[in-house]
Amino acid sequence: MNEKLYRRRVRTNWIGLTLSMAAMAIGLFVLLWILFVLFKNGLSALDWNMFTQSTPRQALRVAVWPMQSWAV
Amino acid sequence: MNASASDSGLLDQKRLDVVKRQRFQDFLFHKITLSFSLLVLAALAGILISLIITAWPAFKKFGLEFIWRVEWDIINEEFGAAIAIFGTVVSSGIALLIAVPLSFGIALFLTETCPVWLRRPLGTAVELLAAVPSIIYGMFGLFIFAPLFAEYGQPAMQSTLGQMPLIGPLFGGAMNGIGIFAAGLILAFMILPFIAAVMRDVFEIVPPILRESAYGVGCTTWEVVRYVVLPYTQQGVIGGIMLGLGRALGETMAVTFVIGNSQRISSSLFAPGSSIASTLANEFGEADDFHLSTLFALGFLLFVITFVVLALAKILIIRTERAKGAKT
Repeated sequence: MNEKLYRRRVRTNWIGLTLSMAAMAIGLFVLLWILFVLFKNGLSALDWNMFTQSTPRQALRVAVWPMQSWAV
Repeated sequence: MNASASDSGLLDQKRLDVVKRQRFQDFLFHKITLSFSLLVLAALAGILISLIITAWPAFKKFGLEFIWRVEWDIINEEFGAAIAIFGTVVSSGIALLIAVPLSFGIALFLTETCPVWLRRPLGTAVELLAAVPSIIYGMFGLFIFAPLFAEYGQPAMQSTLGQMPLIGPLFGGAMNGIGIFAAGLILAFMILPFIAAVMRDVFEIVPPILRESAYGVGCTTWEVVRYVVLPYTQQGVIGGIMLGLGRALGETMAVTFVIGNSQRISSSLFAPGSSIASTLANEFGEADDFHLSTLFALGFLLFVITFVVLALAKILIIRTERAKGAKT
């Protein structure tokens, strides 16, 4: 068996698989980062008034029920 | 005798009726499905025609020169698409350069090396990334990523890549976190799950016998992927990449938030720019008459670019298939 060739193949395999694991880690990191930021900033701003009050008071009523804004 | 003859005649008549009914059903089914397909073509033609009609004043004034003009002067009504085309193509190119290797790595990990019990949760997590709306990517890019990128990422890139002989100027200039490179990076995160999911799915359809044969003759995992899985799934992989590119080219909100929205072309990727979609999103609400017509002309060009990219991908796949056929 060609030892040099074998070692090279094993090394290439190791590098390829390590990079694939790193890619998975990067993908997961981005996902968790976005979700963390979204939940951290989003959940703290959510309350009942957000959905029921009108736009000037930072509410989503117009977005959720646009027909009401037309009627007004 | 007569009774049996009349029975068989009745049976034949019934069979004939069934065949006639089936033929009519087939005819109806064929025509209905044909009309659905034609409806898609008609919608496409309608979009194209309405784009051309509305964009006609712009094309009439500037002609083909509109494509490579670099002006975007709303006051004097001097317009050109070069800046927006440059921003669209470069940001999508950066996104592909980053997303394709990462997606390949993720698909390789999920199909070849990941423990079986972890495959489903990780696969779902990657798919969850695809479910995040593009405007969330934009907000994340502008409020969270851009300040960090300006403080840590850009200085690091400028002090390393920026010092290299040929590519150095690409990483020069002011570092404020937003710009074409940042847009490309955010786009890469956005298209990553689409490409990765397609690659994972096509890697999974490789017949186990092919994989096992390769392992049986002593191939390493990398060699199995390189010489068995990739050639077998080439078409699907290219399809996945093109799907990602299609999304990147037409992406609006994620890009609009982070590209900087400046109508100029700079040699630095850190400089702000604009893409076709971001220009449309920013200016459509306030545009009228001729300005509106130039925006439609930009939309038409985006349509053409996307069509050309998809056509090139199709040609590439056909050529590869032919080359493979010639080899074997």
